[in-house]
Amino acid sequence: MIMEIAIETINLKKYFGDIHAVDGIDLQIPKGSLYGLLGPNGAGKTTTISMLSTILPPTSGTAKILGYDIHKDAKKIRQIIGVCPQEIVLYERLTARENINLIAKMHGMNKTEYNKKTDELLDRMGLLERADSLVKTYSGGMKRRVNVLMAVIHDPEIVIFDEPTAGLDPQSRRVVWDFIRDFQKRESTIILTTHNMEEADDLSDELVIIDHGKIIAQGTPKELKGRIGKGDVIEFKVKDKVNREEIIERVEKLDFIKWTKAVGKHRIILNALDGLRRINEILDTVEVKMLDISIRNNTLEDVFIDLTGRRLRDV
Amino acid sequence: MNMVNRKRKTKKKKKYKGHILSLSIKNIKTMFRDRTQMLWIIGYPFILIVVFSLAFGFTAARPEYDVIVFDEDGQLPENDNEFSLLLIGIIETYLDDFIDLNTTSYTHEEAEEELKFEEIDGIIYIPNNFTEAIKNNYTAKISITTIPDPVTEGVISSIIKQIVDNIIIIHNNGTPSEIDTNRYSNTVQLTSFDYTAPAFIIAGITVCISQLALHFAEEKETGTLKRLNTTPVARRNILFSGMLSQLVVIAVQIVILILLLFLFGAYFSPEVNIFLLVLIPMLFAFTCLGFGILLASLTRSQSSAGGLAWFIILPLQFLGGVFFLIDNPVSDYIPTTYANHAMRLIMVSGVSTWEALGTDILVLLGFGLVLTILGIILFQRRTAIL
Repeated sequence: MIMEIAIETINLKKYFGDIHAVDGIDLQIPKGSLYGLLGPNGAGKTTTISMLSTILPPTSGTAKILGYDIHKDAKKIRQIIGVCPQEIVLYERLTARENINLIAKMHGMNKTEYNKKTDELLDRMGLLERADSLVKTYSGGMKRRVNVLMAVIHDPEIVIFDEPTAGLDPQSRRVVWDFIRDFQKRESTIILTTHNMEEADDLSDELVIIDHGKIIAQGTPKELKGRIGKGDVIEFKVKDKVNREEIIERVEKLDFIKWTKAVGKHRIILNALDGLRRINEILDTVEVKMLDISIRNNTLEDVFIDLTGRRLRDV
Repeated sequence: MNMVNRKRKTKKKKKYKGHILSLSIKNIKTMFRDRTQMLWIIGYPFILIVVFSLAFGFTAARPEYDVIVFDEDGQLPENDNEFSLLLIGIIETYLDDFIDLNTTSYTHEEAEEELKFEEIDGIIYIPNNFTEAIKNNYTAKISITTIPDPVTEGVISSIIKQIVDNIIIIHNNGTPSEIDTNRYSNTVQLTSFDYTAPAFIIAGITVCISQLALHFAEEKETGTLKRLNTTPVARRNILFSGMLSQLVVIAVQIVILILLLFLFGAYFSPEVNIFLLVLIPMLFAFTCLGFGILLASLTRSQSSAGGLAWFIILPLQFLGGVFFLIDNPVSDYIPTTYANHAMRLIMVSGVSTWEALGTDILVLLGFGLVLTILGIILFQRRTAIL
């Protein structure tokens, strides 16, 4: 079966003087998929989606959204996309309903159409009761939810969510995640940028990991996690004066250790086959006091650490 | 113990001072790192001095007054016109760069029409017994009618009186002259406030420049403009919506300004055309909004938009004759000049003809169109990358 492509970027670049914010990104995003762009802050995710949203012209390269070129067909593209910006962008002196309806009107929806839809969406996000209060009286979480609704009121074929849950409490984050999942069932294509590995892992059908404006890995969350082995990830902290290189050297001699990394100032992460059962062997080999030990399955963060030697949140 | 307490107090005070200094440095850094705000900070003293020098320098200097003279002296067979000719001769010879005399080509009706439309500044009537009065040592009278501006009236009448009195002193040291002065205003005696009041409406409207620029600066700062740019709405429509909403606000402000002037007793001619009284300020508002769009395209923050607006508002108010009439080549290029001229004619003189107001209306429309088109082009370019 031939996969239908919704979004395609070809060697997309954006330079701001000497800063290469996006440095030759090639993407092929299947229609109807939820595609994650995972990367640390400053990786180039927002710049990429700004170009896809036609509000930022690329330095070179191009992109096509459902066959429309970002250089030539900006107006067409704006008709079929919905963008949820990273910042909370609302008219504070309008109500939630007025904010959402305004975007609906910009997309040419008629009153009957948007009135019904707005109520439905507000209800879905648990905001119907406060729909007619001024947004400036809302909590941060409520504003973030309105921010999301403004991107989808017109049932766009492509929706771009830029860090949609940034700064949200776990409960509100779940509400937004559920909403995004439900929205995908309508066969819209969704791009989700995030530096939250749990969000990327949980929601994305497929994702790319971006760092310094370049794609450094691509695949489904399972494929990406599979790249770094099937073992358990063991993470621990050592004291200041301990020489981590010596420990790594010793540990790497164990035949069930797949890889090791020194992270931050005091941490060591290693991937061990059957790690839980063989933890004692590791403790014996390390020989120094191990603090904050944790054993867990592979995460996308481990993939990022494997690729860059840094944590997502360290950057 | 006391020593310890004192030491503690001193230490605490020092820390507090440190906070002020750090915050002040932060404030200065943030001010100077906003380039448009820096332009305002550095440019403000320049614009203030340039505008005030141009405005007050030219007011203090002698403007040229256009005056028509009707010399009826010596028209009776028994009289000659020796002294009226002398008076005219002195003005034409020694004051020609100050008073521009026209002695021939007008009828009384034409001259009054010119005065009504403020095409000239005054009319001097020399009566038929002027020379006779000086020679026979009884009071020589001259009648002067000027535009309603009290300054113009005072300057022209005092100069004419000085010349005539000097002629009398040289001839026979006789009785000083009597100057009968009037300001043209359909027979109503106007105060200085009455003549300035129409320009207050125009001055009030100039504030919409900063209102519009602030509106778009807020949209830029909060990211809502960027958000709107991800929808199919055209940038020029965003711009027009800003202008339209400001025009509504201005219309309300104009009505309030007119009502307040009425309540404060400003003179409204019985023939005042209410439609034109609102139309001219609206046309001027259109011009101001053009300036506002230009400013909006150049500024990104509300603080810089608010500051830079004064770069435009100050020249408009002080070089366009809002507070006093100004005879300055620069004022010909200031739209306020035309708006004030039209408003004074409509409100004070009750004029409503195209002949009198056409030029002002066309100039205001022209300014508005050119500025708006330039503003749209610049705004579209400058907001392409937000």
